Formats: sequence, C-alpha cells, structure tokens
Amino acid sequence: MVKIDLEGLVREFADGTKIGPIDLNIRDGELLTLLGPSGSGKTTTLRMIAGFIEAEEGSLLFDGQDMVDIPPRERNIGMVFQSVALFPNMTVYQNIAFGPEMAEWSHEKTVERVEELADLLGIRNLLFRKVSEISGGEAQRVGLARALAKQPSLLLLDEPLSALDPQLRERLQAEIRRIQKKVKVTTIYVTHSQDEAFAISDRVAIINDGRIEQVGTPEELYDRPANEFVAHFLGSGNVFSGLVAESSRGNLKIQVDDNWFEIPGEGEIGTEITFSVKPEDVIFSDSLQEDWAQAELVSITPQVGSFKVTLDFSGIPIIALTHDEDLVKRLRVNGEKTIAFSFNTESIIILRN
Amino acid sequence: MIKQEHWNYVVLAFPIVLLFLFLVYPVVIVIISGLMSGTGSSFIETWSAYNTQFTATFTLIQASVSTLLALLVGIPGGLLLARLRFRGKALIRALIIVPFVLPPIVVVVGFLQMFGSFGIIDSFLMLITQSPTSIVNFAEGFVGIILAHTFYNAPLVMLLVSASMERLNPEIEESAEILGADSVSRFRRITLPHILPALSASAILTFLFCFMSFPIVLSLGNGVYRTLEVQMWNAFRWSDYGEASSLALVQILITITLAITYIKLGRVSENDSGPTSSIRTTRFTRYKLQEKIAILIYLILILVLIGGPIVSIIRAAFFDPIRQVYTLEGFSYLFTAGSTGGLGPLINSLFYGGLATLLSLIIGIPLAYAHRSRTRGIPLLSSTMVLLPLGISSITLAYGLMTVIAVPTGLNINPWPLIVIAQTIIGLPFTARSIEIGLRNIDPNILDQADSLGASRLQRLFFVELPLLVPSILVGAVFAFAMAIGEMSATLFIALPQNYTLAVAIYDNLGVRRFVQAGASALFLVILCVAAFLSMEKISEGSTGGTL
Repeated sequence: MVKIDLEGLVREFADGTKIGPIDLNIRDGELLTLLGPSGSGKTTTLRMIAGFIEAEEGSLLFDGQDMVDIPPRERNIGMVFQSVALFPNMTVYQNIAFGPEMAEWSHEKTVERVEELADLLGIRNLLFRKVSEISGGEAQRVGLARALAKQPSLLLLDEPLSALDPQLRERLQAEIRRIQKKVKVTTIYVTHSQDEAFAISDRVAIINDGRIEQVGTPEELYDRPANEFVAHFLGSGNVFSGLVAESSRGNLKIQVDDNWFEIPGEGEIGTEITFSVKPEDVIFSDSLQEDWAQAELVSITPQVGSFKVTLDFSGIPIIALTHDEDLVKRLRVNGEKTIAFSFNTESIIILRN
Repeated sequence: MIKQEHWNYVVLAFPIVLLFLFLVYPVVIVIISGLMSGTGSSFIETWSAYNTQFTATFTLIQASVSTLLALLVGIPGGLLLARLRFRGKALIRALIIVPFVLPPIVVVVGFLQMFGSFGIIDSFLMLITQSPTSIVNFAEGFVGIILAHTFYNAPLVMLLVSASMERLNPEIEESAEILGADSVSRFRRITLPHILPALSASAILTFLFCFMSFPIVLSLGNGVYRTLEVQMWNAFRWSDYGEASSLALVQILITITLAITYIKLGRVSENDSGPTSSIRTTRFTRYKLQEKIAILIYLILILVLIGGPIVSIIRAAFFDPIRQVYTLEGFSYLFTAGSTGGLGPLINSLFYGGLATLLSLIIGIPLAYAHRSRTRGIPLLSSTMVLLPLGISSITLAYGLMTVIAVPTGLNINPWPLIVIAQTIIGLPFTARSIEIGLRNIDPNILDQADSLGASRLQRLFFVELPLLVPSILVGAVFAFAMAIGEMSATLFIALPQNYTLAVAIYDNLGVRRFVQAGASALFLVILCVAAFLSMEKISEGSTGGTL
C-alpha cells in the first residue's frame, strides 16, 4: 500500500531525552516491528509517524512524499493503542463505522465494510454491544477493525496486546499476522516483547536509547547480532571480550582472563575483540576436558524440550542450552559446582563496537 | 468481639441520630404544624396569591437563566483549564474554587463595588463622560442577581468540566483524530458525550444553589425580586407560619428531587471515570490567531466578572461612596467593641465558626466511616443524611430549628447554639465528602498490612488510618470553617442582635448604608477564606475539587 522512509528523524524533549536521528525504511506491505526496552523511544517514533509528535529534524516520507507538516487525520493511518481507546459512548458498530463516517462514505458502503471486517475478525455477534460489555480480547479485535475500517495505507500498532494474558496474546498475534497478510497493509508494530516481535514480524528493528541498532528478519537478528546490545537484548548471545593473542589463517586465539578461546575470524594481535556465542553452541561437561575453560554452575531450568543452564565464568554469566538429560541428572545428583565448557566455533559472531 | 460491634454501632449511629434530631425532625414538624395549626394563610391561600406565584415564577426563571449563563461562561473555562498548558496552573485551579466558598454577602459587597452605582465601572464611565451622576448599575435587580449567581457557579462548572476532561483518555481522542475526525466532530462525538454527566451534574447543582439563593436575592433584589427562600423569611418575620410552611413544603419537594438527581448523576459519572490523567495539553503560543483572540477576550471577561468583584472588595474596604473619600474607618470599626462596633460580630464569627468546624469533624468522621460500612442500609442512611442539607434550604432549616427546638427549650432568648448547629449542618455535605474521599483513597492493602503485623483495631485506627486521613480531615475542616463564617441565611434568621456574625453585620451595614464598614468586614472574610484555601490546597495537593 505504501512505502515509509524515515530519514534522520529527530525529536528532543524538554527533559533532555533525545530520540533519533532515526533512519528506517519500511517496505510496501510488510510488517515491521520496533522492538526495544521500555523508554527506548519505540512509541515516540511511532507517534512521530502518526503525527501526534512533531519531528524537529529529518523527513518522513510516505511513498516519497514528505508528511511532516500533514496533520494525523490526513495521513490515512489506522492505529491501535495500548489502551485500545474504544469510544466508550458508542457501540461496537459505531466504533468501527467512525472512520468511514468521518470520511463521509455512503451508508451502504459503511455497513458493508463494517460487516466485512466483523466477519474477518469474528466479532459479528458483538456489533450491537456496548463497549463496556466486551472482553479485553474482543476489545482488541474491535480496535483492529476500527483501525482498518477506512482502508488505511498504513497501520500502526502500539503494544496492542501487552495488557492481555499470554494465551490470548498468542492467539491474537497469529490473528493480526493473518489479517495483515490478507489486507496487505503496511504495518508498524511496537512491542517490548521479543517473542511477540519474532512471532509476528517480517522484519524487526531493534531500538535502543532513541536509535535503531539493527534491522533484519528475526533469523538474521538471532544468528548475526550486530553488536553487544542486540546480542544481550535478544538473549541470543553470551558476550565475551578479550585480547587477540594469536592470529593465523582465519583463526584467532583470544585471551579472556586466564583462558584462551579459539574462534574463526581476522584481527590484529593485541587488539580487543568482542564476540558472541549462542546458548545452543555452548557445550559443557561434568568431567575435566583439556583446553576447556571452567565455570561455576549457577542454576538449571527445565524448558520445553531442553534445559537452560546458567554458568558463572568469573563474573560473566553464560547461558547454555542442552538436551542431554543424563548430563543434567548427573549434575543435579553430584552437586558438582565446577564444570568445563567450550564452544561450537562455527557460529561465533565477532561483534562490532 | 461482640462488644466491639456494639461500639461500632454507637459510633456510627450517633451522627445519624443527631442529624435526625436537628435536621429531619424540626423541618418535618415545622412544616406539618405550620400547615395544620392555621396561624396565618393556608396552603391554598398562599399559593393562589399573586405574590406567591410571582415569587415562584421569578425563582424558577432566575435559576434557569443563571444556570444557562453559568454553563456558557464555565464550559470554555473548563475546557481551557484542562487543555491549556501554562505556568501556575495549580494556583489558578486553587483560586477558581475561591468564588465558590466566598460568603454570598461578601460577593454582594464586591458586586455593588464593581458593577453598582458609583462602583468601579460606573466611576470609570462617569470620568469619561464627565457626568456628575451615576450612569450604570448592573449590580441590582434582575441583572445583578443573575450576574452574581454566574459569578458563583461558573467556577463550579469550570472545575467539574475540567476534572471530567482530565479523565478522558487522550488515546481516545487520538483514535478519533487518526480516523479522520476534525476538532469540531471530535468535540461533538467524543468530548461532549464524555463530559455530559459532569455538565448535567454542574447544571443541576447550579440550579439548586440559585433556586435556594437567599443573601444575594435579599440584598440585590431591592425587595421587588424575591425567591421562595426570601419570601419564607418574610412570612416568618410577619408570623405567618401557615405561609412559611406552605412555601417550605413546595420548595423542599423541588430541592430534594434536584438533590437526588444530582447524586444519581454523580454516581454514574464516577463509575465512568478512567484512571488516566495524562491529558494532552497545548501551550498558548501553539493556538491559531483567531483562537488566541477568542481566548484573550474570554479571559478578560472572566477577569471582569469573577476577578473584578473580588478585587473590588479591596476598594470597598477603603472607599466611602457617600462622601467620595478613602478612609480607614472600616477597619477601626472592625476593632471597635460595643453595639455599634464590629468586634462583637467578629468574635461571634470566629467562635461560632470554630465550634461548627469542631462539630462537623466530630460528626463528619463517623459519617464518612458509616458510608463505607458493610452493614446493609447504613451506607445509604448515612449518605442520605449527609446530603440532605443539600436539598433542605438554610431558611427552612433555621425555621425548623427556631420553631421546634428554640421555642420549647427557651433557647430563643439567646439562640447561639442553634446558629452553631445550623452552620454545622449546612457545611456537613462538604466536610463529610472530603473525609470520605480521603477514606476511599486509602489503599486497603495498607490496612491489611497493619492487621497482618498484629495491630489491634484501635491501633490501626490511630497509627495508620487517621494519620493517612489527616489531609482530608484538614480539607474538611477548612470547608466547614469557610462555610460557617460565610453562612448568612440561617444565621440571620436565628440571630438576635447580640448573636450577629460578621456576615450578618455586613448585611446590616449595607442596609444602613455604612458601606466602608461592610467593605472592611467583607475584605476580612475574603482574606480569611483565601488564606484557608491556599493552605488547604497545599495540604491536599489539588484534590479539593473532588469535594464538590
């Protein structure tokens, strides 16, 4: 429907917080999620796109056309807020029909559109209820239908599911995804939940401290975090820093404290290097192994299909995943505290700083 | 345990019994006996008289027009107060409640000085036209009464509307905006329906106050314009108890109906309120030019209508319009003892007001607790008792107290205890409500916490609940005191000359054209009220508006 380009968007607030400069391109018809910790500027960015917050610098292009001076109601946007913000004095039908009415659609066309959306979202039986008589999940569906009613070219979703319980949240994630693919509306989704972002998005933009850290598909972000923040935030990386001790034929030997790790990569001897290892690439054993480093066992948490093992490597926390039930059982029974660990080296990522 | 329950009932029942004894019983008896005993005109005679019909019509018309005008003046103010971002907003909000608690008779002084003949506006016009005689007089007659009522009630509308606006989740308006609604349709479709309960509540309250208006109509009506309240007072003075009771009966039916409607509406809007207070505000400089001009014109209007009379009181305290000189006689009057001096009324005001304050707290605190009691029927009974004074006019109350209590007990020789009782009852809805709000705002988890830590009920009450309630109790006390020292209707009705309070003395002085004396007394009351309310605003951090 529309392609969005944010170019150097900046907004500074009176209390000194600064958002931007933000550069971000959203492709036509894709669902892009802004993911970041609270206070990172996700919602501000979204509200700049909506027009509720004015950008001080930079430009915001919808299909190449600058929108900065255009008021929100003329941007042809649909938006779902965290509080859903249904109009409390109207019925479900009146809520959904509000946009078309404001656009002065004919009555027949409005009714048709509302019914179409009600069917799409499975809320047809609610149409003549009052807003105070529907549940949280239903309210979210109504909010979505209301946002889509006048066929916006851009849909903005501001943490629409964060107030719901986990099961309902998962169901609605799938539903939003299905509907977004069906109506092919360019969508920007804001959340602080990584699971939600990964479940729903074509691409995810990681935002921190008012800046975009990395943009990519969920797989790209998980496999190749661009920096320490992304690796930490996604929980996909155990991050280590050390000095290059040896470098030969695409292999590095890196000294971290008194241990040496061999990883693939290039680098000059004596420089500091940060690298990230995914939890599933950490291997460990309860018997001593030559060349392996040693760490203290902190905890073992059972998860679906695996165990999450937390180690303490002289102050650096290491998360490892294992499927080896026998190993876990032995660790539990022996009460062994010190264990040996090493890495599968192929997937190690050297982070830029 | 059983003993404790008993105590509970005693504590909760005592204020209810007191109110029954001093409010319900006298009013009911005086109406019945007045209608039955037949001294003076009968019910039919009273209501078929042209005089009564004129009074009733005037009462209704002035109340309707005043309400309409108060809404017209108040709504833009409420919207601005909610939407405009400016420095000192908290102070303005605190000041807006001041007109509402200013004694009506003080407002009369301010109005005469601002809008009356030889008042500030008149003097200015005289200066321009070089006219030796007075040109305009907006302060008296129908216009004066309406303006004074607007002065009183527009701030009330402003506060209720802005409070309601602030409960509107800004995301709801943003939703409407993003769906293509411009500011007009946003107001019509979203904001107006949202503030409608608050608007109706303030309209009914305004109508109720204007309907029962006594001091303003008595002083500005020149005897021509009278409300039912004024005529009732007159009838009592001429010992026509039949007429007084006939008027009281009709009036009480109307006022109680209005009061019940108000309470019902209040309940609806309370349920409706969202927790959000992050309303979207806009700086003045962000408005368009026409909007800026409109806002400025409105502010000037407000300054003249509402600020003007208050400031004029200062002039009234020093300027003698008869001799056309500035003088300090008003203040020397305030500190002169004896039958012509103001010291006696001043002391009476403080003494009665202090006692009434104490009494309202003693009654108000258990009443607020009764309101939250889990025993069936008690909350309803207590809230009815608290709000009854809202529906029973001061004159009716005083009439009941004088006839049913004072005469049989011989208190009519020196009826000062009745003045204290009347002042207490009249201020009670506000005192009890502010305490009740405080009580409601205490997190029940905190109390459970105290229980789980092993505090006994009394320990919990004295070490946890009451300290948390202190701000609300202080707010309630200030309300009670302000109401008491400003009360003139019941006090005038009951008081013998040795019982005159400052408020009554002002009326008296206006009557004998001792304007500076009235002005100085009024200024004294204003300063007292403003000081009390500013300190209260500090204590309660801006939650006083909720008491209304």
